[in-house]
Amino acid sequence: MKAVVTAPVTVAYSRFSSHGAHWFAARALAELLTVSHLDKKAIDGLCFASFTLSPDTAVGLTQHLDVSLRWLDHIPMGGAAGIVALRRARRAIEAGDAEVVACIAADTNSAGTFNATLGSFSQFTQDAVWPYGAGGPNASFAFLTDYYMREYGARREDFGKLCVSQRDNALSYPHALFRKPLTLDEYLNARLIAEPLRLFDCVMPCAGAEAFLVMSDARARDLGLSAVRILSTSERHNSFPDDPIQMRGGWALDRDELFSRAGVTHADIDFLQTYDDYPVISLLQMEDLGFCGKGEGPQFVRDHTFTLDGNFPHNTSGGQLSGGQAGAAGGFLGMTDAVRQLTGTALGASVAGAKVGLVSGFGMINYDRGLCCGAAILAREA
Amino acid sequence: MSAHPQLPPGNRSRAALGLTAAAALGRFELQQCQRCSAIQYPPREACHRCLSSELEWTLQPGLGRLIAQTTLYHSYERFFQERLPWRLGLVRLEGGPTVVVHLHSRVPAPPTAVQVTARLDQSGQAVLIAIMPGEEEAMNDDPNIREIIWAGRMGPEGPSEGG
Repeated sequence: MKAVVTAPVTVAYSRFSSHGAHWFAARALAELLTVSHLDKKAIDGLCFASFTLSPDTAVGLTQHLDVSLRWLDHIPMGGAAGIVALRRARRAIEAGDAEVVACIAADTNSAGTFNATLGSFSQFTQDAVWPYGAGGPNASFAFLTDYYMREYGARREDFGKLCVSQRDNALSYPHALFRKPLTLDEYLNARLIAEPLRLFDCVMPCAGAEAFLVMSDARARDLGLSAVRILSTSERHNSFPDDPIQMRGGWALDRDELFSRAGVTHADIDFLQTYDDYPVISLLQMEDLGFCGKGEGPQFVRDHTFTLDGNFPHNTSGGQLSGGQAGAAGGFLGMTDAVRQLTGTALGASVAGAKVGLVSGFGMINYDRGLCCGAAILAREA
Repeated sequence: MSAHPQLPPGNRSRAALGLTAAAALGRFELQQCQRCSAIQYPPREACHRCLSSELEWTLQPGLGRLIAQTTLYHSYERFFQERLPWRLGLVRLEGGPTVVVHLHSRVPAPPTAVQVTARLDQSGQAVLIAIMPGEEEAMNDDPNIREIIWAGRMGPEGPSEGG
């Protein structure tokens, strides 16, 4: 039996919301049921990610949403949550622990919840980062960007090209919060946030949810759902602890096996979804996943085009930089839109003839670097 | 927001209080494992290398290399919002960990040698500050640095004599 991914859903994002994370989780589950024509009783597994469900966990959510499950997982992995959810749900299905797993990431956002999440994000953040200017992730990624620019000769224009291309992709994607064209000049001259980062380098926090179902290929067929195959996946945590600063992630350890087990090469990848709360981390993913060598990211960006009709389609929905970062749902966005692209159900424009996509995840700046990395290669059903 | 928005964030774990205890005596100390000698930061409950719990706070020379910098023009805490822009650095200590620091204005762009010192900030907790090696007497040349370590002399409520 093979597990497949199906029923990608998005609960519309909003900049702020007075609803709790439970509301977004409920809307996501309801939408999964609508799309799949399944009864709630048919959901017997749940993999859940959120930053704002406190004081609850996925356990409380089972009673809140009145679902009786035989498999339950709560993954606090932020930007890697989509990959990790897929991996675990797939194992659960293939081991026979569950028949239909709902993978949901849901978060709310208000000025209060966001600041509270940041200041107490981790013990290391509280002790050794927050007292230093309280810049949040902007400051952490400013360090990585500053270092990367100096070490590898990246220019602001290189990051800008990715941001501008993603905005172009977002123009037809209905859930993107930014749907006005962005010019390179606007990018370059935006106000400073944390030097060298300016406004359009920084993801905008928002509320929303993303979700998908994992089930057997036979079950998906019975339900008449178009699904995608999981060719291979990888996951790493705290990969290079001795590096003085993060210049690579766990993908670098796993990419060869990721591709060999999938039975595809880089040339077969029709689009790439990186985790993109800041553009520098997209360059690290392109390098560490092997699309170019370490430090060659800037030249790779100059040599390629990243729009849906470009020669290297990247972040097909516009990514978080144009869509907004709905907490942990930001870690699902690449996955849900990849499934749409591969099932011919794109909400906006699509990558013509896309057969194989790579989704990458990155999450959890615990102190000075992101600890969770993952990737998945997905393919259109034969 | 911190409980006292007029102060920098004062929450620390119990493990981190050793840094503050040493800084109150004018010393920069980090945890060192008594079994394998590893030096670590941020503070932990066990040695990150061998997992021993026999950790001692030991005096550090504080020499290191500034490897990245940023200047904040946005902050989530009022104390910093009122004092922007605010300069920060990432320093790799010699033979040791990477530390986030308040970065003195006299330190040039990375990569460059710096000296890391520990001071009490206005909340009464330790913070690390990177300065040019041997320029401790120039600490107060940077108004932001001068402000954040003010309470080291004035107490946690901040300046008491109308200033």
